[in-house]
Amino acid sequence: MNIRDNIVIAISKGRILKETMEILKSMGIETIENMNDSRKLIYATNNNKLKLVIVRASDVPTYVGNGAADLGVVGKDTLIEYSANNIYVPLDLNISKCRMVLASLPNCNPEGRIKVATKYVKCATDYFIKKKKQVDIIKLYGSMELAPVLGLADYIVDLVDSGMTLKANGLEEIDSIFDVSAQLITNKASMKIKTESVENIISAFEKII
Amino acid sequence: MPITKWILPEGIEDILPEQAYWLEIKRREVIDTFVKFGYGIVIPPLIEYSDSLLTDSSEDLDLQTFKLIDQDTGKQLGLRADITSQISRIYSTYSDQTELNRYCYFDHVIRTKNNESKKSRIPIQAGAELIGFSNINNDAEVVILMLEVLKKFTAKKIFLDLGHVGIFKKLMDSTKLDNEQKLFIKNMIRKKSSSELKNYLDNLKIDESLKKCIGDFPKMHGPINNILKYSDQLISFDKTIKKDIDYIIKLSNLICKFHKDVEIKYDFCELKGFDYENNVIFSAYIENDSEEVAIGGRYDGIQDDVSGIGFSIDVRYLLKYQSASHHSNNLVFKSGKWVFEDKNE
Repeated sequence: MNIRDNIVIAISKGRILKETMEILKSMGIETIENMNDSRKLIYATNNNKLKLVIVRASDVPTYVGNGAADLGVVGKDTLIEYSANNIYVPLDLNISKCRMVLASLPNCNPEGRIKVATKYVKCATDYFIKKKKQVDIIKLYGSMELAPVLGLADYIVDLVDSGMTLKANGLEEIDSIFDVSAQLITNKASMKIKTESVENIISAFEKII
Repeated sequence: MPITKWILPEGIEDILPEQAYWLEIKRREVIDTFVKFGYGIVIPPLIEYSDSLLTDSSEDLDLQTFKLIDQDTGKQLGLRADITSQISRIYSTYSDQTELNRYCYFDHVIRTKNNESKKSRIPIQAGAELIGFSNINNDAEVVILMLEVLKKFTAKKIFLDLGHVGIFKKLMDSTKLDNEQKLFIKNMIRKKSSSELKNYLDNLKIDESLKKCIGDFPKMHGPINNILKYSDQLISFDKTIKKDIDYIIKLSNLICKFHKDVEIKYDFCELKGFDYENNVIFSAYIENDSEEVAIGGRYDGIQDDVSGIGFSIDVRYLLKYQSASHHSNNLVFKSGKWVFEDKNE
């Protein structure tokens, strides 16, 4: 049987994976192999028509948008960065919650054009457009907190859970931009062609959350 | 010459003999089908004044259109990203506008961006437009023709998705929401974002029954039974919505008579395309394919108040079905020549 005859759910690695697996377990769905003992990226489940694939967060919308997976679980932050029209976002799973914030060193009052370091370029750009401020965005891939400390940027736009990392690096939150949680997404064509199977999975998630 | 000079831009590609010959055969079959249905083929120019190509209502089309300046006049020219507006121009320029006219095309369009699925930036579109005042039989004719043409490219099962943009527009007209609020709701419905839409509606001061109806809108898709269970709710805000729902059901019955093997589904959340459609819209999908392969719909007033219904199929995308087709005239390269494949070898 071709894998495309199955329903495939792409899940982002890390916290979202852990919390999504708990929801799936409540729905009666478990992987055949123990994920902790395996380096596999694709898992069969006790539902023989359902497969799980484990990918990087930023790749989940790409897999789903291009139809390599029918459904996906991914953070709202990643979806905003992806900003494409080839997926549906039917359900907020209300898990893996955190916030997108603007942060800086205390008493930050930059002169001239503001420099902002972030992994989330679109989120940061949209935020400063709404604030009517001209800024230079510096794309970073991690450890954003370093940027203000080392003078690379005046502000950072980053995800914050407890705020401990900001604090540990001497930064403070200036503004909360939006709340983030994991979203269930679907491929458009899968919703049209495999309507019943896809809708059943959405309803099952809806009942649990 | 450095090797990088040979690299084509992203989304721009060659079609080589095996596929080009297949495509040429398909082109003839498709044009013959168009003509059999009474459609006249036109070849509009690839470039013309951008004002003529672009409609007021479509930001998407504007963004997708390459623009350059005419050195003679200083006016802005556009490379067409879509052929529908050119057909409307042809109709208003050359036709006696008192009667219906049928046009078809099979030609390139050029787009500034290849979409999220990394499709071509130079699609080849096969399409047809039926222009002028028309009735449900004419609408059915266009959808039937679209399915007929799609079947030239694949024997796989086809799924037809039918929608009606007017239903959402009427529901929004029955509210006192401002344009920004309506746009936000529209974007949420297009993404079927039930959760985010619900959170947004919770903060709006509008009638509770209207709130519920808008909140349920992202679920108004799927088989006919799923659609019908929301019809009373919709009709309570605008009685004319009943006519719209009855219309698409009647339309699907007409289509079924000719294409029994096509599975028809409904979707009131599809508010798509280049935004000029405002009535019945439709799209087609092929089994096990992850892309929409054909789109169409009824539009009113895009060029000199021209109304019509039409569709386009991205034929370049359908080249992927060439290897699965068992055409007797497949070309293969042998001893320095392109020859017809010998099936007995």
